[in-house]
Amino acid sequence: MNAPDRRIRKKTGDSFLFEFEGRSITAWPGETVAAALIASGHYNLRTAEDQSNRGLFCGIGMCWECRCVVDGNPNTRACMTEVKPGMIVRRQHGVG
Amino acid sequence: MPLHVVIVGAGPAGMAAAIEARRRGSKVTLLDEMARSGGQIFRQSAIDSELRVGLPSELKRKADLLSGFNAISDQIDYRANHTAYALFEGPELHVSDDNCSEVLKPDVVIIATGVCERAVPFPGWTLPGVVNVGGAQTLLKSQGVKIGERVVIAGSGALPIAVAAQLSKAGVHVVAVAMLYPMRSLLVHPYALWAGRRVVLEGFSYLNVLRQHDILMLSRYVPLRADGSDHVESVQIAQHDGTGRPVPGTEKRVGCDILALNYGFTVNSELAAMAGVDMTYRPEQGGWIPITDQFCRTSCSGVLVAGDSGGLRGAWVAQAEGRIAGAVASRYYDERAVSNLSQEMSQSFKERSRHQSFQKAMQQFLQLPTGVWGWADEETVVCRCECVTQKQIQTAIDNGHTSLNAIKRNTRAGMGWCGGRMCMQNVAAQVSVGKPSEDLQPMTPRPVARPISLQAIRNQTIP
Repeated sequence: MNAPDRRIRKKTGDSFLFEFEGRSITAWPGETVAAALIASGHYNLRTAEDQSNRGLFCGIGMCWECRCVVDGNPNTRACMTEVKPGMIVRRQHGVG
Repeated sequence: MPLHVVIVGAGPAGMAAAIEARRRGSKVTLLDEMARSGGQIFRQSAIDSELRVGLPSELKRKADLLSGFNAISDQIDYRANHTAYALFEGPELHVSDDNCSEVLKPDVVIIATGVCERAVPFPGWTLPGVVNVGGAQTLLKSQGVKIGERVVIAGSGALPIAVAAQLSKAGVHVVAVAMLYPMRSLLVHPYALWAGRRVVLEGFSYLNVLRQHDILMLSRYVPLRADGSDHVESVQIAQHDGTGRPVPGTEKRVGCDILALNYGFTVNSELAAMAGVDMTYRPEQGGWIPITDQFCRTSCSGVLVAGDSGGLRGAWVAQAEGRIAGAVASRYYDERAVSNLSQEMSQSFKERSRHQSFQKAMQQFLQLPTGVWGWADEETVVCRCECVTQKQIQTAIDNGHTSLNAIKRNTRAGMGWCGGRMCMQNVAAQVSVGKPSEDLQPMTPRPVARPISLQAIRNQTIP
């Protein structure tokens, strides 16, 4: 199955790859980690302390629900972090 | 000596305040959490080809304010990517970026920190794919990404309708829009409709888009539950009885990959509360609201509040009020000069009150009926950060912990990463069922108001 692409039109600039849970994901300059993941159909970014799955919620940096592990740093908001080539993003489990 | 004015927030109120205070000779510092000015409503995209989803009138207003701000931004100390995490009497403001923090002791602080969205808890609302309506809009506007393929929207007020139209135009299949109230209840406020005619026309054009796309609009519908394994796959909605309680037998199950919610807003008023500003509880305006006079002054010397962080009032009011606050701040310690401003800036004062009358009429949609607090079941998480369930909060209340501080101490509700922004109003509603709520005190806000790094605290500059 091909990954979906939810970008509403072709973006300018050269695309690049980053990694989410071991998968290669395509992104464009200026995109946030959350935008690039949602564009390719990944919503589940974290498991909370009660084991429930969580993802983007407020989308503007206020709720911290989309916190994940970016290049080894836990509690990094996917919605506020610009994605970079080669970045390694993982789901955060509990406190990270 | 010109006064040093520090403004927190670079949305419409903060930008307008900066322009006005600078024009009047003040030394201006403007702090903003985002990389680019504009706030939420006038957000500037990081992508070259910004998607212009707004209406022409709105886009022009945005362009005008941003160009006015850009013209002065090199004459002020504008700090993007900065968080204000504490405010004390003085005023003394603590700010930080990722690596460093600093204590500022200006003559005046203007709080223009805006609002965030509010949702009401129900089973499944923590599932990935259940989002705030404004979050879906931001993803579309500033990132050019559709949040999903099949979207259900549930909420109240104007934002769900605007975003439903914007998503449809972008090619998202909006499966259904479940509104708490019928919009026609606005018609009983003809003066307010006239005063807010520009916004009303925007509203009509959005409704028109929804009609053209043949979107299922449901009035008096509420969400019952969202289901899915690692991601929302369907939602159950039902008609409500006028008080927010679902009517048995009217349930519908709708397949979707996104459920977007908006049941009003929560003002970002924690800095004002921390400084000791007198507050009042007004859920339809966004929770605990700093009390201000017509000049945006609070009970706390040197602390002004402008725009939505003083109670939901919309971008038009915010911009007019930002100008007023910027002027007042520049003359703050000269009482006569301040009282003359109502004459000198009569246009801004008039504009503010005209748009405010429209906002008042709109607030009826954000007055949530008591039945909505029955949507959550015992196992529903109310405090998302600390995973505190409705039952745990109810047990604390039943054990006599009826202040929000006592509930926080006993359950950890409101102690997490969001600082209580997402749950505090919902906990307040659970405590105050059947009781008047004006006197309800918020959880005491303590530093740090927003998460910052330990490294930033270690690297602190104190004047």
